[in-house]
Amino acid sequence: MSKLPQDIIVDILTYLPVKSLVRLRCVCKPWQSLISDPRFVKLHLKRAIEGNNINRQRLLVAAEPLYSSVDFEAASDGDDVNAVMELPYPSAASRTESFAFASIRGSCDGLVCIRNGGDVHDMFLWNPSTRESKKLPKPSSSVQKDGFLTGLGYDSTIDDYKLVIACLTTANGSHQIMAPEVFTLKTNSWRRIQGIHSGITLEGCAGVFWNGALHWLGKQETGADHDVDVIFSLDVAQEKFMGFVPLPSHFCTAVLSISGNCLCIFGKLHPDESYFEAWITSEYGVKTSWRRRYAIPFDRLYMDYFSTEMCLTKKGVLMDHHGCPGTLQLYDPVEDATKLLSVKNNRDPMYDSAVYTESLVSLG
Amino acid sequence: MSSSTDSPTLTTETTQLSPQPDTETAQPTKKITLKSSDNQIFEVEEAVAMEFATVKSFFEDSPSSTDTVPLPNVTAKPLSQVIEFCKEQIKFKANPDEAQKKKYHSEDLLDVLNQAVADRIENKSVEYVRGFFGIDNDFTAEEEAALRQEHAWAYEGVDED
Repeated sequence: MSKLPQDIIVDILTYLPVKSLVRLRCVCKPWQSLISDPRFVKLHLKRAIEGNNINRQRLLVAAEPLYSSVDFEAASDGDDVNAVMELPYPSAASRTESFAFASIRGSCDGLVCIRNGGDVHDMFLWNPSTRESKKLPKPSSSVQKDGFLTGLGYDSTIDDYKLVIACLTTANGSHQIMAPEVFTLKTNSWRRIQGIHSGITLEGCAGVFWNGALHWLGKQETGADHDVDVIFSLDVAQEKFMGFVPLPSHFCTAVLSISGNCLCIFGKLHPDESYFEAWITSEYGVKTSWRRRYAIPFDRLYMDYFSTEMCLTKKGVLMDHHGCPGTLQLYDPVEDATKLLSVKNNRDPMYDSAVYTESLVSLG
Repeated sequence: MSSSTDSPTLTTETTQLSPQPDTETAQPTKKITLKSSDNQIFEVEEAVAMEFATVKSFFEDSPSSTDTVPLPNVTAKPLSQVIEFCKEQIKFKANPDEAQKKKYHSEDLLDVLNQAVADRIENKSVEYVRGFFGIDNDFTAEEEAALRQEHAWAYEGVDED
């Protein structure tokens, strides 16, 4: 089909962004099948995660009904023009209520799970890079008022994506995680899994997928009042809640995030601290492997209260700007400068954001 | 190909390199100037430059040329990496034991080249890419139109060929 050997062509194509690949399906029939081949999709994703010179991480900003994708590395390099891209409204989203607030319930391999209706069970999966979306059937459990935890992960043993949902409730004065269910993409259905946990309160409900498991920040009831002292995890293949992953220290407020192959935590150690810290680890479950990357004074940032999403960029830290809806801030510790970036929104302070990696992963 | 350029020509320069302790004779080295498509100038030793087929044929055509060699197909970033690779290659040829130890270098080079090709076609049209790789279009007009219609957004903002 070409003068170049097939394996060279495949390798070249793994370096391309998703938009180019969607276009190049049209080159010829062999390319069309190659680019849709799940093995190629995996190679491309691997390159996106491991490639040093390429930049496939984006921040999805959901400000119902406006969705935007932010290339935060381009933004921190000063390329504001190409940094923010408005996305078309996902076809599987149910645009029902005028006050609907979109909440991102998980992010894994370029797929995100979004709840955008009034009903907490009204969810869809979306690949913002290929623009494919899929409405999910409703889980069977009745959800308690207190809330629910969710997370999107990949099970390599069956090569499938799983969405986990569980109710958070209070029984006998103790916080509980109850009635967990798993949705698998290939079967397009929900089923109950085992596991009830007491004595733990979870911070932030969308789990972070890392090393085959979903992670949520939590507080143990035995701990001090404001201590975020554990990472609670669920093994996605075994569908079991696991032990606790150690944190470098106790935090009073914190968020969990992913940067490349590392797990990050951003937070304040004490309520009266004047700076927040960013810690990073690449080794699973080893307390001593946490390293402190930054300590950033609060007066450098526009923060009324703590951001829900933060991420480490190559140059610094990116987070929401709560005083000004739809604005992101990028802090560069080397230059000690904060840069603002506008994302189109309907001036509604109710919006959510999550980091995702561009991928060709299909929902089909 | 041999056009005069605004950059100084240094091909006959005979500046001596600082003597290497374990090389027997320090020869005066001829230098050749290369220019990338984004007008970055690279001054390299003749032996290194001759690893490039384009450069070699340039001097076969005009042996006494002192011009800068324009390389309109490559930008500065991959060119600098390829030059580094060629330098290593020459060292390895002189010292094969060392070369054995560092065989992985050729894989690095392939990564660099493949990424450079990808960068080049990233914003190009389907027609450009077919021409670039010498691929025949085996879709019918209807099939192609349907594919384009399905993902019309992916065809927006493409470079002029």
